[in-house]
This record gives sequence, C-alpha cells and structure tokens, in this order.
Amino acid sequence: MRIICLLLIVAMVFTACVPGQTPGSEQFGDYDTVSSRIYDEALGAFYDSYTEAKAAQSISERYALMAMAEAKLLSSAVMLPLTASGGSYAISRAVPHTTPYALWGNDSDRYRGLLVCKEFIKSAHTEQMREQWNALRGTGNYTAWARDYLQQQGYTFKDTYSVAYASDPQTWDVLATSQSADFEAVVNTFDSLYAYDNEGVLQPALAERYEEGVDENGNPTYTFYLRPGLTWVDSQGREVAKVKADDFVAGMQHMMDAAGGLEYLVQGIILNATEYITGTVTDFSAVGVKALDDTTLVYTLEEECPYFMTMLGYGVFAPMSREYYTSKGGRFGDAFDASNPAYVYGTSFDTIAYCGAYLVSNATAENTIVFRANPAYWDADGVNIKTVTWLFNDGTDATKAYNDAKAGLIDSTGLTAAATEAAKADGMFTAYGYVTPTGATSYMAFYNLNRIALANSNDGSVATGKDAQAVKRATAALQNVHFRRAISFATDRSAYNSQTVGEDLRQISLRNTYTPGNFIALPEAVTVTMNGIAMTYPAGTYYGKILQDQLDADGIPIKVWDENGDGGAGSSDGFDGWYNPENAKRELETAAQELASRGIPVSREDPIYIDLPYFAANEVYSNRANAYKQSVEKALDGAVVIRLNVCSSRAQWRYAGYDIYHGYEANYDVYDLSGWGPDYGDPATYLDTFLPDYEGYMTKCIGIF
Amino acid sequence: MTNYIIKRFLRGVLSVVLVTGIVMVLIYSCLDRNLIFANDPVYTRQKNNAKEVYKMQQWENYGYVTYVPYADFLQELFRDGQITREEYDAAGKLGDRKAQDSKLTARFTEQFTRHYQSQGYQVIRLDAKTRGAKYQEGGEPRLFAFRDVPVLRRLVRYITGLVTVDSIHYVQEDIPHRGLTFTLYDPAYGGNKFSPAILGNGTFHKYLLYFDSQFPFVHQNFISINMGASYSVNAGVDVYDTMTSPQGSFVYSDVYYPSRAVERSADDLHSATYVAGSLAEGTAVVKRHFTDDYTGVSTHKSGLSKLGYSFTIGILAVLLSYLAAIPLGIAMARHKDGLADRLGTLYIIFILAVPSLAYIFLFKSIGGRLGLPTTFDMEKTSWQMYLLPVISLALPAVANLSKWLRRYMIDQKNADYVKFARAGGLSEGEIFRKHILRNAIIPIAHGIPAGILGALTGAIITERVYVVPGAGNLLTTAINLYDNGVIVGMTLFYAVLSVASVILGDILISVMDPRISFASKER
Repeated sequence: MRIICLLLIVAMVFTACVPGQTPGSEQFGDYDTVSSRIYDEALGAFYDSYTEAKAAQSISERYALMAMAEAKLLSSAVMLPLTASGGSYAISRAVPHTTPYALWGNDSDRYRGLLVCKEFIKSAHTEQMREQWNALRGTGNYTAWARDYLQQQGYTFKDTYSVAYASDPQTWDVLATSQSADFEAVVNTFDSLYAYDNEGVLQPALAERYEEGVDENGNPTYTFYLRPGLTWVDSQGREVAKVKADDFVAGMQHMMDAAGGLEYLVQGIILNATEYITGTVTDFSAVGVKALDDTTLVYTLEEECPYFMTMLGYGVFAPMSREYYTSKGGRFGDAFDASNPAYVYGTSFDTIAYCGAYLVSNATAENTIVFRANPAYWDADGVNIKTVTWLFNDGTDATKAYNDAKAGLIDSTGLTAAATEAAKADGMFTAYGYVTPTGATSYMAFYNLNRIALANSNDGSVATGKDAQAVKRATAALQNVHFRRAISFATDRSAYNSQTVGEDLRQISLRNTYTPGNFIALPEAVTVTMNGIAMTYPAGTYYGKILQDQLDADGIPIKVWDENGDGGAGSSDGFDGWYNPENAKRELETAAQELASRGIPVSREDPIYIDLPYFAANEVYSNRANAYKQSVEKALDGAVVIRLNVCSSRAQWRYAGYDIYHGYEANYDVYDLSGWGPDYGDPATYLDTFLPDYEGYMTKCIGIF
Repeated sequence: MTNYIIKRFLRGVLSVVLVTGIVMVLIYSCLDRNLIFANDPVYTRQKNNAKEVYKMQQWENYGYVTYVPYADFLQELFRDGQITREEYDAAGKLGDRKAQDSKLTARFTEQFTRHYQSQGYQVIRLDAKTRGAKYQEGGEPRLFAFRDVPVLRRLVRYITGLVTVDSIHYVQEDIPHRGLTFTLYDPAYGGNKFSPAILGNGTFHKYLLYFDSQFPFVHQNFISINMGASYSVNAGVDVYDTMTSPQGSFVYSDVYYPSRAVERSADDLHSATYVAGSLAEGTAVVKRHFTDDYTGVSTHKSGLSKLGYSFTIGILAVLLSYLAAIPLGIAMARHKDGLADRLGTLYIIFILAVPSLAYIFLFKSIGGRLGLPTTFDMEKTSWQMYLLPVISLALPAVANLSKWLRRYMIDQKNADYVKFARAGGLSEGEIFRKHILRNAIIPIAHGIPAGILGALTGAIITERVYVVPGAGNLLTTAINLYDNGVIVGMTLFYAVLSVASVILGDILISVMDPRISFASKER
C-alpha cells in the first residue's frame, strides 16, 4: 500500500511539471520599424558619429572619435552610469602594480614579476607608489624604483605569497572553459604570445616578435616568431615536448571543438572561425591559423581588426601541446568526444602540460592550491615568487581572511564591513588600509523607451500593476530626452551607492561614463573636428578628457572627467558628475513644455509613474531602491513618482530585465541590474553594445530590438 | 530471519530507486533550467541565434536535453558514406530563410526534420538575422533538433549504468594477446618482489587485481562504480572518483616502467588505463616509459581522499562521543538531580539551544588560543589538526546520546525488575551495570551503524569551518553550481547509507537483545 502511495506521488510530480520553454523565431516587422524610429530619435547622433569613428584612418583618430561618440550616447541619457567594480578596502604585503596590468583578458591574474614584502605595506607608501606608477608608466622602470623605494623604507622581500581563494577551478583545460575561477588558476600554467607587463605595455612572451601583413586574398595577417628552445613540462617537471608553432594551431582547434563558451571572441575575427564553429566548414586547415614551421605562426583575419593584439592574453589563444593532448586521450574535429572515459586531458592539474611561469604541485579541492616556479620557464629569473599558495576561504566567516592575514597565513585580503571594523579597532586600518582601484566593469540604470511588457516574460503575475494609461504617459515621457536627463540629474548616486558599500566609500566606486575614462589613451597626437572647431590632442590624452570636451562643446552639464583623479592621472570615477537637482528641474521644465504640447501634462498633481523592479527580500537592494526613489521624487518635486515593483526572489528580479532576449520583454521603466565589462582593449567593446538592429547587446535594455 | 532481511533489503533497494527517481524528476523537469545561466558571464555575451544554440549546448552538457545540430546529422551521413564530401559541404550551407535554401540543402533539411520529428524531437529553424548584406553577430541561420530526456529512461539508464564490469573486449582496436595474465611478481615493483597481480590486455584497466601498501592493501578494477559524471564541480570526473581519489602533494618513489626504465616519479602504474593510440602519438615521456597503449596513469599523493578525511574525522568523533556519552549518561541517571546531573543538563541545554555554527566558532577560537591548528593544512600535515574538527563533531553527539541514555535509564529505574533486583539484595552498582544499562542501551545501540556509516557523508559546517577537504560540502557545492550529475550521485549515496544504517541497526539490536526476533513465528 505504501508503495502505491509513493508511486502516486511520483506520478503527481510528473504531471505537475511543465516542460521547459522552447525557443522559436518571431516575426515583428512592425516592432522593428518602431524600434528603428525610437533608436534614430534617441541614438541617431551617437550612431552617426560612431560609424564615423569606425571608419577612422588611424588608431588615435579612432579613439578620439569614439570618445566623441560616447559623449552623444551619454547626452542622449538612455541610461545612467552608476557604479564600477572594485573600489573597496584592502590590506596587503604585495607591492602594488608589480603584476601585469590590463583591464581585459586574463593577464592581470599572472604572478610573474610580483614582489611581496615580509611586512604589510603602509597606506602612505601604497599611495606614494601608485603616484609613481602613474608617472613612470610605459618607461619600464617602475619595478626597479619600487624595489629601491621599499628597501629605503626598511621593508624586506620574501619569495613566497599566500592568498585566500573562494572557488576551485572546475577544469584545468583553459581552452574548454569560460569561468573566471578556472582562468585565475590556470593562467599561470601557460604563457601567451604577447602579454601585458605591470605598466600596461604589451610585451613579447612566447613570441619574440611579430609582423603585420596581408595575404594573397587581401586578408590581414599577423605572423609571430616564437622564441627558440621553449619546452612543455608536466606537473612533475618532466619535459614532455618542445613548444612549436603548431601547438597554437592545436590549441585553437581544441578550443573550437570543446566549445567552452569563449569562441565568440574569435568569431568574425579569425578567418573561417565562425564557419568551423557552426559546422559549415569541417576542415580545420581552412581556418586562419597556420604553422609555417616550428617557430613561425600566422593568424589570418577576416578583416582589419585594430585591437587584435590586445586579445592575445585571453585563454582562447593559449597554446596546447598536441602530443601531450593526444597522449591524454584527446582528439580533434569529428573525433572529439568529451565523454570518452579515456579522455582525461584537463580533468586535474596532473593531466595538462605547462609552459608558464608556474607548475601546480597540489590542488586539494576546498583546501589548498600550490604553485611552484617552473624551472624550465623561459624567463625563470624574472619570477620573484617561488611558491604561491592559495588557501580556501568560502567567506562564511567574515573576519577569517583578515585574521589570517594578521597572523601571516595569507599576505593580502580585501576587507569586509566586519573586517574593516575590526581593523579600525586594532589600528591596522589606519596604518595599512587602502582602497583598491576601480575595475573596468560599468553598471548602469537603463530607461525603457518602448515599454510593452507589463509583467515578467516568464511569469505573468510578477512585477505587475500599472494601468495602460499610466504606461502610455510614462513611455511618452521617457521618449523625451529632457525627461530622461531630468531623472538622471535627479538621481543622488552616492546616496544610492552608500547602501551597498557604506558611507565611507559612497563616492569611490561611482562611475560617470560607460567606457572608463582612462581605459585607453591616444598613442599619438591627433587633430579632430569637434562641432566645427579643430581640436588637437597630444599623445597620451585620455579618452575621458576628449569625452568631456565634447560634452562641454554641446553644452551638456555633465562632468565625466576629473583631471586630478587617481593620483593626478585623471579619472572618470570617484565623484558624482551627474547629480544636480537644479539642472534636473530645468530639464524637467523643458520636458513638461514639450510633453504638454503633445497633450501630456506633467505636474505634481498629475505625475509620471516610473516602474522600478527591485529585489525586495534583500535588504541592501531594497534600501538602494528606496534611496533612488527618495532622491528622484525629492529633486523633481513629486512630478515623477517612482513605483517600486516587488520581486520576491533574485530570479524574479532577473526576469524583469536581465534574462530577456528582446526589448519587448523588458518589464520596467528603470532597471539597475545590468553591467558590462570589456573583452579587448578598444572602446568598441563597450560602444558596440548600443548598436541597433539586434546587434548591440544592451540596446534591448532600452526597450527596442 | 534470512527471509526478513532479504525482504528488508529489497524494500531498501526500492526506496533508494524511488528517492533517486524523485530527485531526478525535481531536477530535470520542475526546476527552471534557465537558472543554470545565473552566474554565467558567457551567456550575457552571446547574441541572437548563437544564444539559443549556446543554451542548447549547455542544457545538453547539464543533462536536460538531447541536442542534435544539423551539421552533426550531415556529418554522420558523410561518415557512413551516404553522401560525398561535395554534397556534405554544399548541403551544410543554410539559406537565410527556409525558402532561400538551395535544392540540395532543402532536401537534406527536410530529411533531417522528418527523421528527428519522427523520434519525438522538436526541430527548430532559426532564420538569419541580417543587417544589410552581413549577418549580425551570432545571427547566422541555425537548424537543430532537441528533446527533453525522458526522466524514466534517464533513471533506468542511470541505475543500469551504476556498475560496469571490465572485459577483455573493451578495446576496439586490433591488439595482440587479448586476455588476462596472473603473475606472482607484480611488474610495477620491478618484477622481483613477491606480489600477486592480475593484468589484463584488451581491458580498460591494465591492473585488475593488485596489492600495495595503501589500505585495504588489495585492490580490484574488475568492477567500477559510476555514480554520474560532474558537469561543473569537477568537470568530466565521476562523483565516485571525486570522492575517492587521493589528494595532496606528490609522493615520489622509484618507478619501474614497462619499458624497464626506472625513474623517480609520482606516477601510479597500478592506475594505468587504455588510451587508444597514445603510444604512437604520445610525448617523449610516454615513449620513454611505456610499451603499449596502457599509458593513462594517475599519481601517488600524500593525503587521503575526500571520503577518507570525512570518514576518519567522523569515526573518531563517533568513538569519542560514545566513550564520553555513556559514562556521562550513567552518571547523570545514577545521581539524578545531583551535581553531575545538573552540570550535564546544563551542557545538553547549551548545545541544543545555541546554533551549531555559534558553538563551533566558540570552540574554534578557544582551540586557536590554546595553539591548536584551526585549518587543515595539506602541505604540513600533523595529527593535531584532527583534534578540533573531531571535538566539534562530537559535542552535539555527546549531548544527544547522554540525554537519551539518561532518560532511558531513569525510565528503567522504576521498572518492576529493578525493584525485584533491589529486593533481591543486589548492589546499586550491579543493578545499574548489569540490568538497567543493558536494557537502556538497546535503543542507543540502534544508532551505532548510522553513526559509523553517517561518518562517510562528512559534516558540512565542521568541514567548512576547519577547511577539511572532505565529502561533506560536495552536495551543497553541487547545488550551488547546478551540477545535476553530482546532485543525483550524492542523493543515491546518502539514500544507500541511510537505508543500510537502519537495516544494520535493526540487526544489531536483534543480536544484542534476545527478546527481539525478526523470524516470523506461528502463534
């Protein structure tokens, strides 16, 4: 009898379950027309100047024009930049800026060149070294200076380094993954052709030099010449093979076979990469990567790609020893079969070959990972730290990392709120605390210019509530650029941000642009025409400076560039250059006049209702949403009312605007969950996301395409 | 009795199958499968049709669907010789829309659609997304078929695949001398030391039976257990292997390779498996060491496996808790309302009332101040690092056991047989030891198998706090990473252990207490 009951339960569970959603293709001719109209109205100016930038003759001109295009994007106010990644407290024994510096790719996780002291580095010294780094950037002299400076200050160096880590690599095959936890561990086991040094300059690594050229079909080519005498060793340090140009070909093919998820980085760039990945070409020799001999490697591109060299630090360009791979059961092309029990390549640190600065000698899940300097590494002398130890810390004990650092178990750590309190109490914070630099990922609030969804796309009962009339009014208002600017200027972003990072740091991680202002600098002097006036910028001018000039020339009252930020180097972070209730009121007046002429009155008595979905069960997000509501309503005297739309789980919140495929599924008027980080060293990695016709990733966030 | 045990065993097996089935239903059809993309940065980067394809690929990786891209279908036709290379290349080029397909492509796409629809697949055609003459990023036209894997079939496949038996026909390639050889002198030890072993040729494992110095000293590879491959916790590795492979840093020794080369290395030749073509295409190291394709070897490591650490700590904690709880319980019952009873009760209430995380942290900081290691350091191992985890695991067990023992004994104290014994002039100590304890211990003893087997599952909080590389966190980690293979595997493991411990507990008390009998009696 009991068994029958159990079977009944099983049967009930079966029937209660709904099969997964199925994708399909929709025809939205009308929707596309509306989308195009709204795009042209809001972002037409941006699109025109961005197209011009892409046709630029030189890199410097391209960068300058892109900065000017971004000014158009920001002044269109379809989104409001909010915060950047990073910008939190930390203490460390590691010397700042001695590891590779790059805002994209994986080079910044390498330990090559790292210097570590036996003592914690004092806050004042960290500050001093950062300033000096900005001054010496590009000269190649910073590390030597830092070493002298610290010795003068009485520090001593050591050759071991320990840090806490929170998640184990799931695979050691760098070509078959896209997870950052995997890269952080594996990146030290191999070297790329070229890699960034600690001053952000691209330096030859496994390659000695490279040449650009054009092949017989007119496709651009990059030819790399490998260093002689490079070797592959296994985890026990035994030489297993020589590093050959063909190993890069094997790596690229394996990357495309294994489909770890980063193939998109080479699609449209390397000749026939897309065709091989989608299966229309099956012969890998048609793909644009070839070994001419043991040391000569040629990449053939589909078209000009000015940022190709900046992508080499990605795992997708990693070499892989063809011999070692096959000896671990690996196969290529049709024969690739990840489920074959004999295929063990990359399943542990024992089953990969190493050509990088470190060998892994122990990796115990949720406990320890130990990296030892590779004696066979081509630049073994340049590796200062002989043993790097990762100790597991899942973060459940908020002060564990801090206590471990104090006790000398680990050498550097970020400080949680609880740890900051503890550090302040025992004087460690005043002596050694510093703020980490902001990262390259920007988080924004998006405005929906074409609201169609009135409930979540997966569940019609979530985040609903506004009537059709109110939606119509809000959409008409949000299509007005002055109205959008009014809300943007009315948002007190530091009050908003302080809910997440606390009062101390409320301004530090504020970002005022989409592309960070110091993301790139002009390699050479360039003259561009800005609103009819010729402007000449010297080499080294930051992107943010040009962006600011265009905004000023257009008379848009937004400050995005602080010449004195980041120790005098200039920065677009760390201040609020948007919030200004006066400007907000002025923009709202203009908007109200324009809307009134279209029969839409906007006033305190007849306010515009703006929906903001938020994760109500989470205190931080809930406080943040309320801070947003308060500042906007106050600055605009109640003529705009923010309706906080309850999402009771993170999933519901995500479905309101993050897990959507098209603009018509965006169930919000304002949404603050999405962000974007760069894939390569060119502003296009950001600006491309606002292209029309389903091409820009973020365009759907403003409700179109 | 035997009859009863067989029945219990069969019922146990049925419950395990049902539990595994329910978990499979929950995972594969009731949970929102889009959630696996929650922390996937790549997902956000995919666009247009490429995003749909990416979702399908991931779902297939995570075991939700069977997914067949059109290109795979053509590839199969080509491999079977049904189409020529030219046809294959031409038929692979999809038109931007269905109507724009070439005649050849239309014929094969039609064939593809019919073939898979007849098998219950859904066939999806995604039209090209273009801008001008070019495709948008990820906008190439796509054609694929997919279907949800039926849960029942999945369950059957899972259960039948749990155990695989190695055979000399495993190797598909043509190799000479297929068969098993028995030797008294294991070649892995140089061929001179007496150590029997059975070696296979044509099997997956080279060593099917061998001796070494690791517990339990004799090992077999005839039968291997497959509890399901991991997708994201330990990609590509079976749950069983994840739990049982040794951890830590390399242990080097002189290794006698089949090629007669002798080198200092950490290679474990007993783990050798067949890797087709690995000798011919292999690295210099492989060629130097091996003479056939049995080159897949793992390494000797200094530490225990996940299961090993969990079990060691767990079993020590069980021992400690019984050793401490039985005297404590007796003392409390014997001197009811006395000092021992009051102090004991205070301790029990403290453990029950305070959340476990709080007192574990409390004892951790006390232990840390006394100079005991608070983290499990795999590089410098010492017996001291077991102390705090064992104590923190034993604390609640002691409280629980002594609470029940005290209660049972106090109950028994007023039983007629005790009064009778007292009247008969037995001493109080004798009554407690010989009569009350023997009766009161029976329900306690029922939990002993559960305690021992439960030690295998590891302890979630204790292992986390002391950073023990044990098996306790595996299930929670798997749930966080949506690693369905591991979730199902761990569920099965837990279910087997719980069912087994209840059955063993029943058998144990029937042995201890002659009044309990499972034999059916005719009355």
